[in-house]
Amino acid sequence: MILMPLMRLPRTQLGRELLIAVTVKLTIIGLAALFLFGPHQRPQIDAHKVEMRIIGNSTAPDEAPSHQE
Amino acid sequence: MSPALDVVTLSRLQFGLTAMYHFLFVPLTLGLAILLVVMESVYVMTGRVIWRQMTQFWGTLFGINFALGVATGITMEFQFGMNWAYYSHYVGDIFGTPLAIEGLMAFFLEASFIGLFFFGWDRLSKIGHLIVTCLVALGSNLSALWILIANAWMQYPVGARFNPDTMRMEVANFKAVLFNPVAQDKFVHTVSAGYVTGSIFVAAISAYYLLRERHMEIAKRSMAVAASFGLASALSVVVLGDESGYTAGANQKMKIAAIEAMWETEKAPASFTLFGIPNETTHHTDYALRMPWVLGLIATRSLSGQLPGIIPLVNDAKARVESGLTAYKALQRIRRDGTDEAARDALAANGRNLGYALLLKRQRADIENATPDEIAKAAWTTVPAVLPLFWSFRVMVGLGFFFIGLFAVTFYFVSVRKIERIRPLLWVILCALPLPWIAAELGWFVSEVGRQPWVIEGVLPTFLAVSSLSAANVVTTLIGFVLFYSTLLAVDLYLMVKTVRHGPGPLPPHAAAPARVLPVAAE
Repeated sequence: MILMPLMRLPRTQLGRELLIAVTVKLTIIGLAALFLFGPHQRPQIDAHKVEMRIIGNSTAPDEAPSHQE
Repeated sequence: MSPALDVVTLSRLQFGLTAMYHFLFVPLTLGLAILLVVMESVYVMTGRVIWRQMTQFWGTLFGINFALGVATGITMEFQFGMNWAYYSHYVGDIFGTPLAIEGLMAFFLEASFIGLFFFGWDRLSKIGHLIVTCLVALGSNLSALWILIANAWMQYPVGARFNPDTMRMEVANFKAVLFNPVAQDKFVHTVSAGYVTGSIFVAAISAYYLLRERHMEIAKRSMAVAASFGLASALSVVVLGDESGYTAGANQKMKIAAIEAMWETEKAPASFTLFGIPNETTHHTDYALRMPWVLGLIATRSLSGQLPGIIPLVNDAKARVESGLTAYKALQRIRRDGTDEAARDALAANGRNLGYALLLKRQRADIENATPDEIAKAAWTTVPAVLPLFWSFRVMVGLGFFFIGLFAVTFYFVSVRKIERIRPLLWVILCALPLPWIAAELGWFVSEVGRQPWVIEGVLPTFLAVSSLSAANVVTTLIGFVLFYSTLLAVDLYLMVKTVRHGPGPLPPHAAAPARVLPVAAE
């Protein structure tokens, strides 16, 4: 009930166009974050992994998929 | 070529391509923003509507360029986390700070006020709108400042120290990062190059109108602004580029030696090789045409300062690899036993050379057992690609001097009010349109390829900074980026050409006629 006034479409054309543009942008960014660059897609690096890369014996950085890094 | 190298090469190619695409838009944004401030200031001071119309016309082109520039820049930030995850962990504490400030301070400033610039003409006072335009220009230049502070740290990593417990570089002195001399030189050199790009852009389109005898009043005034601002900028870009080279000569000696294809240390003052074909196999520059003293005077600003050649620098690198191995062994001991104070002391004493030891990782995993041959080979990897650096630098510098001449001649004919009659000059200006972009891209090529094999000079080799992705992953995204960015570039060119062909539209009655005698630029 409290959100009802906020859910009404803006009265002016400019307001409606702005709402549509912002909604489309947020949707695209949300989907991109979910499927392209979110934490699950990003390689997770910590001190131990850097140690393995620098001091450890592995020099081939090509085997593990990014999310398993 | 090993699979690991494939990923490194592909990741470099991907970042290089996206960065070069992005930098097609950036210099024009930097230059046009200032030119808009100049034009609108004249409008506010004289009240002449034609200057408002000029600001709006060039502002439209600025807006197209800005929107597409932002789109190409965002992906680069994500690449640090996705493709260069080890880099991001290793130096993110320092490198991430200026990038975050750039986004929060400069980009937000620019992006917030650009809307007011376009939609505020009839809603703000003249002064209010001029302030908005100034803030857009300030935002774009501040954005360049913070990005270049980050990039300069990659060239000259000051104000940071390696923490063996977190296995990363951490900020020790943010003031040193902020006032990095390389950052200051790179900033003024880069924004000046942007101003030249903006000026050539305005001058070339104005030349097109003058040749077609369309929009003559706006074209003449735009040409006057572009010629005067462009001349000052072209002079600045050469002087400040020299300063940038001088700083690099102090901090990145190998880069300077490679740019000059100077294999051996010459007796001071060193000669400048105007022409030559560097041979990276024989370590000799064939067909060299040398100008005595010039390089020594430019690079050291003295008659006695010596510039080390590539081969002596490689010998220095060998000693640094050996010292780095001591640091490496100390780091191994610290990681096994964090309370080993002797190891911490050894790391502190040799830590500045740790990166040099890591160069050996290209050859073997257990680098502590490296042979003298392997150490010599690692030292030679500190030499970047000499031939492309040598020629890229010379073409860039040649273009810089060409811009000075072009703007000087144009400025003269604008001052004597004959520019519209000198058609060969107008053709030259029009044909010069792509040249500032070529110069700027070559400049970045010299800067970034000249830093190799390091992603952080002397600290982290590039091949250790890349994420553990598969080559197929990187190839797929690389193809995606090329397609996406090519589409953006095509859209940009289409919108630009459409806007230029349409032109600024007809002038309001009496808008062009001067009310009183004014200087040519303000008429």
